[in-house]
Amino acid sequence: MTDQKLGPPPVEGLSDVAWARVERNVFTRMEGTVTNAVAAREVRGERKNPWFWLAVPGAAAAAFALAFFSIKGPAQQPAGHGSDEPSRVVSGASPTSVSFGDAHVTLDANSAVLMDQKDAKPTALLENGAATFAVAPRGDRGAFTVMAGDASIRTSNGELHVAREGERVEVSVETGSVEIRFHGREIPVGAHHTWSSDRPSDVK
Amino acid sequence: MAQRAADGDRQAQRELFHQLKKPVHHTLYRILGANRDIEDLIQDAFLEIFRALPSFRGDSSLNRWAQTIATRQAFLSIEKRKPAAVDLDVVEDEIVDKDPDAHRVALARQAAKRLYAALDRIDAKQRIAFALAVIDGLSLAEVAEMTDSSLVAVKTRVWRARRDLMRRAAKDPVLASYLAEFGGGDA
Repeated sequence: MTDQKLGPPPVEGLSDVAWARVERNVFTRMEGTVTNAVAAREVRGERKNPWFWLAVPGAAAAAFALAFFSIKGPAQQPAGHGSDEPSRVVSGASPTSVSFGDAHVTLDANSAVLMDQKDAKPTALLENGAATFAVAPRGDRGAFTVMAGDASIRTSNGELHVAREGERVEVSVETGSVEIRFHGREIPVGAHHTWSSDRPSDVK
Repeated sequence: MAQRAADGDRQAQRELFHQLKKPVHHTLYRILGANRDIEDLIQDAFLEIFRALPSFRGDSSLNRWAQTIATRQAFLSIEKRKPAAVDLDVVEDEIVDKDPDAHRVALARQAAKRLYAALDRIDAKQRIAFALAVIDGLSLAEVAEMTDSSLVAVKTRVWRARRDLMRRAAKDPVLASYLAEFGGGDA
């Protein structure tokens, strides 16, 4: 064969896109599990109630009618549900801008962001490249979160630029402030400052 | 973070996912090799991790605990799937590149492919013990912890796995040579 040792078989990593797909599917399936578990509990509770036996055929009839009229009726967009679905934005050779709730996202060239609005908690997963996030004041609503590599960047008001290359992440805050969670640490970063995963304790 | 994730905090769960994704993937890949179902298996492992999280007591590190669950998922996957239908002598790649580095990489790929093809044909528990202890270099005690087995059981499995692999390698010089690299194991 060869005199040189080959070493243990290499572990071939998944691409960022594959990881984003896995993450999305895990959390989608978890939502399904929770929903099913709650439904099962509710059904178990309902069984003691005599109205349950009337409600089941009633619900079945309603579901059938809804399905029937959905098929027969005029073509319509599904009402409102689509906005909760994660969506991916990929830029080509030039930057791309997109609105995400009350945030404005500008992707640098050759970048990809997966955006999720589940539970009214807007989250943008920077799969690769870089993007600028301009987040309008969110008041009492939950923070806007950008995930990049192992960093989780939260802001309730501000403009920040996040760049990712492999597992290396750099965050530049233009206005407002952010809180970065990285490997168990929480690092506040104010306007006109930069943080990098190379030196997670330092804010420049 | 683990506690918040166990309480259903979605943000904490996502952070935990990012913390654990590499060790979980590493364990699955090390046991199963290149696998077209790897994404599904990672998903299954994480669903199990989040389901079992409330029972995590911190006896081991979170990473090791997650790897234990990944090992269990790998075991279930091996048990479920059909035996490999391809014979060792038909999985050979032709190596034509003359560049020494490229040649070495191609050899390593071919050797790994043959090793995992051979592992496909041995008992699941033996395979897991061999992959973790011999290929990945974990201690027998660590493997025992990850597989919820005794030290003696792990040692026996590694020994039997090596014996079976060597038997299969008798007609396969590439595999035999590669296995010799792992000769200093625990068996």
